[in-house]
Amino acid sequence: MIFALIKAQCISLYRDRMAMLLTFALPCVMFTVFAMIFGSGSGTAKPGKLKVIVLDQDETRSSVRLLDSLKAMENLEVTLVVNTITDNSRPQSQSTTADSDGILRDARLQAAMSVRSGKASAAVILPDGLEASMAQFGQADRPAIELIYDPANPLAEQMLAGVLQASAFTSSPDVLMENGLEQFRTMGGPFSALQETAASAFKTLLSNEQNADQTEAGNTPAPKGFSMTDGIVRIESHSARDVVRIDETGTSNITSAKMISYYAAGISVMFVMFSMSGAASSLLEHEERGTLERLLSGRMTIIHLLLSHWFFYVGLGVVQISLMFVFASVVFRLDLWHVETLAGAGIMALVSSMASAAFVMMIATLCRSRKQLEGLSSIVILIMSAIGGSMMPRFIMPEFVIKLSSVAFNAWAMDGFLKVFWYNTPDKSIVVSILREVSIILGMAAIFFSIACAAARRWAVR
Amino acid sequence: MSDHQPLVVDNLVRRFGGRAALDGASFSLRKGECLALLGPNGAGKTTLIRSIAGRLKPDSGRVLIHGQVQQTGGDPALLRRLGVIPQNIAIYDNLTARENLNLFGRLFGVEPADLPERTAEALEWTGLKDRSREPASRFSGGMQRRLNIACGVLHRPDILLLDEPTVGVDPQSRQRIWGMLKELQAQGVSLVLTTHQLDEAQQICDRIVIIDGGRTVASGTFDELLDASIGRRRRVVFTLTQSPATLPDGCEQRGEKSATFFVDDIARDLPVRLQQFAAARIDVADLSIEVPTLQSVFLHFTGHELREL
Repeated sequence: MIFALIKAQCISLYRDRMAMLLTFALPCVMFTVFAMIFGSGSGTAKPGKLKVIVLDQDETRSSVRLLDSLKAMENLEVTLVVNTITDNSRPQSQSTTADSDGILRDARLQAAMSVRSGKASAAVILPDGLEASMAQFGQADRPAIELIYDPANPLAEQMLAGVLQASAFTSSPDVLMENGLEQFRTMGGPFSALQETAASAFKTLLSNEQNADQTEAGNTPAPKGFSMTDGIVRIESHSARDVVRIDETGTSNITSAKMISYYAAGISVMFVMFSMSGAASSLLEHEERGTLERLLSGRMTIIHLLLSHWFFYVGLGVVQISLMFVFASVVFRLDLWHVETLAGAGIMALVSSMASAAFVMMIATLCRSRKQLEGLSSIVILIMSAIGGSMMPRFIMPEFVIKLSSVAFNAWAMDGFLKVFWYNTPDKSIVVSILREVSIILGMAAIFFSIACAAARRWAVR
Repeated sequence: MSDHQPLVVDNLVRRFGGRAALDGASFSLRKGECLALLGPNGAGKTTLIRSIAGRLKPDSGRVLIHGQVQQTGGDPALLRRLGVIPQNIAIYDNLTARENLNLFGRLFGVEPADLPERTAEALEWTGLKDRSREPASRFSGGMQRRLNIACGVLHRPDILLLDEPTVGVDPQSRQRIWGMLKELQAQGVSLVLTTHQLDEAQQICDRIVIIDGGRTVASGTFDELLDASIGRRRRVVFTLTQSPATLPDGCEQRGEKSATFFVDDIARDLPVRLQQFAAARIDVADLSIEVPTLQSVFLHFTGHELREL
């Protein structure tokens, strides 16, 4: 009896070509779109650059070096603004000298307006007297670099503040030293002849190194292994996945470092929920059309009815997720074709579909009409996808949201998929490592299905 | 009793909130009989059908199917003897006629081995054999109605409940559906149907039950209902050439140039009336005889019009 109804639903889906297209082709299209947004496409595209306007009012070797240092950064797109205004809407890109304070204020205002209008993410104003003030620690009234940022992008402010400090240190070490020695002279008295000679030699060394950095052909190369421009401490960054790959070549299950692996989980779970909520509306359609009354006036019970729909939706979900992963594997080179990965992905696809199906059936049975279902499911699924980590990683969310996400089955589903595709637990197989997530998701699926059964009692004998 | 009365509805009461949808409805169905269940909208017809089918639990009263009380949710053994045809066309649009029949046959307990034969019979019976492999969405309203009925009889019930089986179909399709129901009746199936086609109910159904306010207000054959309401007298309407000054006794003026009266026996009474009008020098231009209809009877018992007529 249940099989007969499942078969009918399969035939109905097969006959409705548009529904077929939406069910199986749309996931791939959606996957591509989301992959482009979240996963940087095929994994080779670079993230968008931060547009920064720089107003150089100092025009010294230090400010020019600082500017060059910013320009050299890959993730910044730097525009130098002139200090005179010839166009009311756009800053000029050629440098001239400021004639008066009024013009300077106009240039600063113009830069701020560019940020305000969204043409730039931030503006950096290098004030007059910047070079002279470098390393003048403890002087509260020394000229400050002004950073004008868009409050909609607070990350830009933090990033640029750090970048400016780092650049100030690394771009003009000779100036820093000069100013530091000057402070020392002021506070501790004049240097001896020997000290002056040593300071001069060290300054020459720093200056030459700076020139070598800028021209890539220094007159006096710095000794190998010695550099003042590396910062206070030398920092190298490496991806943990690259380290694992390098150190455990041939032993690790994870060989790809593509970000798409991270987002595949979130995208698939979210899409399956959306897709199933559309399918679950067939329950309410049956009610509206009278088919439900007919089905239930025979031997079929509410449990039979719900089970037949649940099995169908679970099958649909598994096929959809599988299709998305195969598509991602072919187009985005998602690392899928290992026995353990396939087993883990299969288990997660199954339990995620079981929970998704029960969840959307619960919503459908709680709704009185298809219109209600459309509205409610969109809101609920979007919220769940947001707190569950389908839209952005949960680790950047506030603590209470992370705690809240533990009640969202999709968050557990995502954790499970991440263990399959992204994380690598060295002492456990993938299947063992996802047991906790699988158990919790199955428990939640049982709760959802029970609620759906209780809500569907309104269709039973009254 | 059960052999002669496969279905007995005994004093059913069902309330929704404070409103009584059924308030003591009672009737019985005889074997092989076609019984029309008439009533204005909201009279309780669909509630009654759902109660008989076991889909609604009555507050009091009982439904007997072949002498056994219908249980809440429906006794599976009794449900097999019952067919329910809902008012809505409750079939799967994307499935073909054959697939729909197979599906509902399975759901209503037809053994897989019997399905091909039953489906073939049903397709023949509905006249859909040639289009058995087309999705139902391509069918006309009449064809879908026929398929809707066939899906409910595949398990060969001996009591068939039909809620508005001909609503929204053209006269040809309606005639075809009545023909199908007559065939079932001839095979011994007892039919209970709700309809707003009073003329057809009068012609086709053996007995009529009129329900209003959840209660059975009248039941019997058409003649019995006539006798219990407006009687069998015919109304005669004379169209006159001019407005009369006075009319013979027993006649009423209807409009300026029209007079009406009742006759028990047309052959005996009509010539007498014509002579009376001639003697009074009132010229009769035309005459018509109004036969008592089920609609008149219905209005007599319910006191208001059917809203969907």
